[in-house]
Amino acid sequence: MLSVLPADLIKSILARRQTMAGRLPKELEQRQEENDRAFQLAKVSREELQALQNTTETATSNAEELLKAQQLYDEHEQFRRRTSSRLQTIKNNIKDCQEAIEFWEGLADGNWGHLLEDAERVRGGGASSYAEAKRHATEGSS
Amino acid sequence: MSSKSSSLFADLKQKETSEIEVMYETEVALLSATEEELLALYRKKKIHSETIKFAVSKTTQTPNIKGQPGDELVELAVEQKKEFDEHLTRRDALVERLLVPRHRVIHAMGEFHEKLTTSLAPSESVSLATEMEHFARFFELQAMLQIYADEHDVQTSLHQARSNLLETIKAVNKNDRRLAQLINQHRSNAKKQRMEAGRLKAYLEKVNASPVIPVPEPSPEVNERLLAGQALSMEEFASMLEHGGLTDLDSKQVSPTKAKQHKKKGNRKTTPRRSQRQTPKRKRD
Repeated sequence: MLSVLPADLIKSILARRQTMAGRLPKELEQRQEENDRAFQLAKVSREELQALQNTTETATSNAEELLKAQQLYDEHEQFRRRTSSRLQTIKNNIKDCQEAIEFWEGLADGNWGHLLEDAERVRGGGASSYAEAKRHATEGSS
Repeated sequence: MSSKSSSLFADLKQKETSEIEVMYETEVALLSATEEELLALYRKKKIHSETIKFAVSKTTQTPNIKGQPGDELVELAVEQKKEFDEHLTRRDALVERLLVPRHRVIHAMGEFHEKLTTSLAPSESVSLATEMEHFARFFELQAMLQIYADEHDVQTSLHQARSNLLETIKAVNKNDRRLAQLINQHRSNAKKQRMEAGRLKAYLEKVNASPVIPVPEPSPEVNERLLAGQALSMEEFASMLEHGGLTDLDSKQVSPTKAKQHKKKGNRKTTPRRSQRQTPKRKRD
């Protein structure tokens, strides 16, 4: 652990990010398909429910059918929301990955100094961030 | 009483007074030497006790050994305690500065490294901010681990200083117990010597302060005066005690000049009527 250099760790982080970024488009495609399917299902079930509601406004005998349609719609709508969320997560991951790759690639040249401020302070004889946090907590409580 | 005192001084009666005086002086000199030794032992023991207290941090006051030079063990213990305190202060400063112990540093470094490099499932996500935080923490922990490695001697020297001090304190404690035994021994010796000196002194006082002065025999006139109820001088009374005569006095030979003695009035004959029931007269009848 003592031999790990910042450049090495950045390389490992970048490698992981790039692997993830390579997998994400396929994942996005799958989620998109899934979301489209869920959207269609929800749309159909909503239309069916609306139709039933219009036709059975006066008739009470079809109440059971109406309940079934409502349940089906709820289920499809829930599925649509879930797939939409998954799709959004993948989109966010893609965005995060792109940002992260850009950031770490920018640091690969050795501009990581601002991330090593705590380490430099400790090396210089200063207190660790853990000790600082404790001191702040103690001062705050007293 | 006389047999007891004779047995107490039996061994001295054969000796000359001057010889006994020499014996007494020797005994007093021995006693004062023993008491001086005892005092020195008490001082030493006090220093030992103070050293032990100082070494185990029961007191912060350094034992005062200025008046008692030569006790190398105590000096060593004090020196080692100071050394141990220095190491302890150095270690405490390091702990206060880093706060996280070495084993926790290693563990946390491993965790951060894993979080930064382990591949994730597509559904899992790590924000860039988290990555940056973990990166910074990893290298801070690495710096801490490096310090622990560099300052390895802090812990080693602290352990060494502690074990050295403990060994010395064991020896001081052993000496302390030995001193306690010596003190007891000296105290019992001093007691014996004090008793012996006292015995010799008492004998000498008895011999020197009680010269045999012959007491003259009492004259018959003294007897008459005594019978007449008149006062006697101390010498007359002593001579009667020495040669007898007090018990020979016949009360029948009381002279007409005897002072009239008032007969003491007798006690009241009436008895209290306690525990007698006071019954009315008519009832008794």
